[in-house]
Amino acid sequence: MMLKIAGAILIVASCSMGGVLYSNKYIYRLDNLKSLSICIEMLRSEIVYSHMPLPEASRIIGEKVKGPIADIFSDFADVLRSRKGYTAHQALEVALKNNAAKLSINEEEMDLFRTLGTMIGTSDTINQEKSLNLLSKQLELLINKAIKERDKNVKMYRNLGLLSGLGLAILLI
Amino acid sequence: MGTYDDILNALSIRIREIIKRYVDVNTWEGLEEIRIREGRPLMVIRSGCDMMLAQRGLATLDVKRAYAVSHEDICETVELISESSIYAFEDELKNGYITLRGGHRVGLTGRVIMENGNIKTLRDVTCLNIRVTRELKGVSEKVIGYIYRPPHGVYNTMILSPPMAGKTTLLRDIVRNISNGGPGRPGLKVGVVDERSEIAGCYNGVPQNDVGIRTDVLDCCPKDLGMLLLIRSMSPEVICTDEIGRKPDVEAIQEACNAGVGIITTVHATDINELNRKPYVNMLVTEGLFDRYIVLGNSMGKGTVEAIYDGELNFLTEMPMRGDSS
Repeated sequence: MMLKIAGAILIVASCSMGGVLYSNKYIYRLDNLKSLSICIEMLRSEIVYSHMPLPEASRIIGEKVKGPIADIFSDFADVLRSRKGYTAHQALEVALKNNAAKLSINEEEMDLFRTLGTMIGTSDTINQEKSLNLLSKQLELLINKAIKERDKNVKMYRNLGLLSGLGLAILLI
Repeated sequence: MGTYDDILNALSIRIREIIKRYVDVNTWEGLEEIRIREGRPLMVIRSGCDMMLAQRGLATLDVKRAYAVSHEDICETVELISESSIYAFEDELKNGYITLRGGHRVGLTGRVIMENGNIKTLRDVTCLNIRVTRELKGVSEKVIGYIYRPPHGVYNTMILSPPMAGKTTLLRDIVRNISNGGPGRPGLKVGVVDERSEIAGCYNGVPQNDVGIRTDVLDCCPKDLGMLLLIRSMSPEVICTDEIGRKPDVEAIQEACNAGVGIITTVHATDINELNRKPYVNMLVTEGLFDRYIVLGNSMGKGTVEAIYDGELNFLTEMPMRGDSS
C-alpha cells in the first residue's frame, strides 16, 4: 500500500511538474519580449539623445540589461566591433543565430527583431526615432498578445498537468 | 596615428581585397587618397599620381580592365565608415566628411537635401574620397623658437598658407610641441578648437593624432563659440584653431587676445599682401594683435617656411627653410 501511495505521489508530482515546465515557455516568452522592449527603449535614448554609435550603444545595453536578449545585443556589438566588414543587418543575423537556442520567442516576434536590423543605423536621428517608435508599438501589440496567451495557457497547462497526473494515478491504483 | 588597418576596415569587402593586394602594411607609404565613385573605376592617388586598380590589385591605365565600383560597394562602404550609425555622423555629413578611427578623413558627395536654405543632409552618396592622414612629427622644430615667448608663453602667431601647403600639419606639430614643452621651454596648457576634426583627428572625441600631453580638444565646435568656451572653462595658456576668416572668428580672437591667452591660428593666404586684402582678417593685422606671421609655400616642397615676420612686418628669417620630420 505504502508503495502504491508513493508511486501515485511521484506520478502526480512529475505530471504537474511537466505542466509547469511546459507553461513556463509562455512566461519566458513574455520576459523576452519585455526585455526586448526595454532594450529598444534604451537604444532609442542612446541614439536620439547621445548620438552614440551603434556598436557602443549595443555594448552598453548588453551590459545594463540581463538575459538572453541582452546577450544578443552584446554579440551584435562584438560582431560590429570585429570590423570584419559586417553591415548592421548581417551582424544582427549572426547574433540572432548564435543565441537562437536561448530564446523563447516565436517566428513572428523573431521577424520583428530582424526588422530592427534592417532599419537601424541607416538614417538620421529623426527617422531612427520614428522607426524605433513604430517598432515599439508593434512590439507592444505582441506583448499584449503574449500576456493574453500566458494568462490563458499557463493556468491551463498547469491544471492539465496536475489533473492528468491525478487521473493516471487513480487509473493505476 | 592612423594605420593601414583603419583604412581597410572602412572599405567594403571587395574593395578591401583589391587594396590589400595593391599595397600591404609595408608598402602603403605614399598612398594619399582612395577614390571610390559609383559605376566608375576604383582609383588611388599615390605619390601625387593617380591610377586605376584592376580586380587583382594591379595598377592599370586601361579603363576596361579596371574594377568598376558597384552600388553595393558604395552602400557597404558608407555603412562601414559610419559604423552602421549614420545618425551619429549627421553633422559631419552636412559638412561633407567623416573622420575615421585613426584620424583619416573621408569626403563624401551625393545628393544634397536642403531645408530652409541650409544643407539638411546628404543622401544617395555616390563618390567617396578616403584621404590618408600622416602625422609629420618634428616639422615645427625650426619655427618653434620664433613662436615661444620666454619665460612662459607664446607670441600670437598666424600661419599663412595656400591650400595643400601643409599648414594644418605644421599647426598640429606646433600644438604638440608647445604642449609637451622642450629643452628650456616649459610645456603650456593648450586648448584646440577643432571645427573640422583636422588638427586632432578626433574619433568619438578621442584625439587620434598626437597633440601633446597638456592639450584639451574641443571637437567639431564652431571656432568663435569654442574659443570663448575654452577660455571660460579650461584656463588655456594657448588657443589653437584652424582657418579663420569669418567675422565672428575675428571677433572671438580679438576677445581672446584681450583675455591674456596666446593665439595660434592659420589663414588661407599666399603672402602678407594677400592677407591685407582679406576682409575682417586684415583688421587683426592693422590692430597689431599678432606678433608673428609664418608664411608657408611650396618653393622647396610641401611645408616650406617661406618667411617669418614679426608684428611690425619685419623679416625675422633670411631664406626659405623646411622643417624635417623625425
